[in-house]
Amino acid sequence: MKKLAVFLIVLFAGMLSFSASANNGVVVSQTEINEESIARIYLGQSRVLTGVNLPESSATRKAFETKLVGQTGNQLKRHWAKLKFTGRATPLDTLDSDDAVIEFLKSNPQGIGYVSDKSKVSGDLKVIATF
Amino acid sequence: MSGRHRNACPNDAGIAVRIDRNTHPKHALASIGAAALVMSSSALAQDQIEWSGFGSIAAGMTTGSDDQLFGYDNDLDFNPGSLFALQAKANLSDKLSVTTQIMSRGSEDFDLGVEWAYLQYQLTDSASINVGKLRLPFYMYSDYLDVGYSYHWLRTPQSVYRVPFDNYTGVSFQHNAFVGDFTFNTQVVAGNMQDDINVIGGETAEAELNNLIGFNTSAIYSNLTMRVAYYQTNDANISTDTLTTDINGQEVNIGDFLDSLTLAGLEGVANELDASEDKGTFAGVGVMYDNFDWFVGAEYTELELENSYVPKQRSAYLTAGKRFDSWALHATYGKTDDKVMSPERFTVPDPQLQAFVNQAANIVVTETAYTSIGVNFNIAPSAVLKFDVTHADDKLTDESDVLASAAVQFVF
Repeated sequence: MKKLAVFLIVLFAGMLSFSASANNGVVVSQTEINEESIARIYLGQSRVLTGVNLPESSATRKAFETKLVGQTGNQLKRHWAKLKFTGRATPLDTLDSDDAVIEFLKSNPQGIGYVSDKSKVSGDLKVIATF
Repeated sequence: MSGRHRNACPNDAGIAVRIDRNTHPKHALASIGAAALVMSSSALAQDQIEWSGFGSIAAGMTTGSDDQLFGYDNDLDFNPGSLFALQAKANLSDKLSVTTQIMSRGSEDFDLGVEWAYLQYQLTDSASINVGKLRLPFYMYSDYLDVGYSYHWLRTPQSVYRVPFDNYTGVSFQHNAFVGDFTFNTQVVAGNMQDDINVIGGETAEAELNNLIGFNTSAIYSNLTMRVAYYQTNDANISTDTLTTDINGQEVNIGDFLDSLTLAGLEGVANELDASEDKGTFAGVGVMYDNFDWFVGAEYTELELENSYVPKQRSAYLTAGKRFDSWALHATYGKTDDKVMSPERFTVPDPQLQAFVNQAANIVVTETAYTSIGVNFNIAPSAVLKFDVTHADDKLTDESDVLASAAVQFVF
């Protein structure tokens, strides 16, 4: 019985660490800003930088929204519906892939985005947060 | 081909959406907005116009055969809560855009109307200015009133959301500020309102508010939002020409009644009763805590129209709910508590006439408690299925009504 408990604990811890490492994405921009400002941009409250998203189905986007913006996909969808239909903010563009985000950020010094693969960050681009 | 036939030919160029509420001068700005959008749509490539929309298909019926609530009765009805809206936004430059929202409401026989139509200029990263036909943000959820998808209720609590008009024409200035861990959203508005409004149980009256100014500020701290709002006008008018009330079993026109008071030398009382060039104020506070697992919120508002038959309207609700994976459960309690201020201003010498005057002074007074329970299911990423049961208890008539409703609300 004790062995089984230890086994379950180890298995559970293993699953936890696996799920944590499965989503280590990075927030990328040419301009340094703090984590609070990142959340504000993705909540439509600030326009200091132009944010871009990955598709709604992307696991990286889900992890980013939960960990850095502090809201789940459904909540953000409701939040952005409010902003859109009241003229408070224009929805952020969605790009298809890590590569498309990197390409956008290289040519937009005022852009901000997130990718799942840290190794793609090069040149003028900086990792400004991890999640 | 005879001339008679030629004259009967349909106008080929006349294929356009007819906007029913456009005939009135009040919609001049809205029309300009709509025209600007049409013009820009021809000047811009189609892909530069962002189209989006939302809707609600709702059905409801009261449980008792004599029950009536929010436009529903004992027969299943799809009209009162159903609506469809289409929004088009065109960017004219980096900073300038034009937006219109065209809506079709079941409560208005699905006639098309321009709900919003405005030019927006982005002044800075955190400030913008809107000009056109806009929503008057009395309440916490005024801006999203029609976007049922964005809030937990099937309909906003009618104890509080009861000002009988939603929009105004004019300007609005929006500003976002970040102070420490707080975000402050402030909006300052100025303009006027002219519309046919619902006054007493389904009767409509022409209303006009001029020199309308005010502001609202929301302070957001993590999961907590606090809001204050204040608006005023020094020139509020509600026509009494179309309003009637039942006096001793007789339908009496209130406009005529006020005229007869004046003829009887009681002009002062008539002036105290009618809503003409009067000062109106609205104040509201709201709070909402939402940590995504559960939420709790409340609003309290006070509306006053001095020197008129409109009482001081005090309104409140308290709401709370819990979210589960793909569904949510919530409950709301609300009440109206209206008060006729300084009733001595309605004093007349004749006791029989006094009874009529008192009745006229109380036509829109309500004291009703509402209790609602709702359950929501996320049936698609952009659609929610909602069920709601609301019990209304009218303390003045001692009547109670129960309404059951279901709705699918969505955005696209």
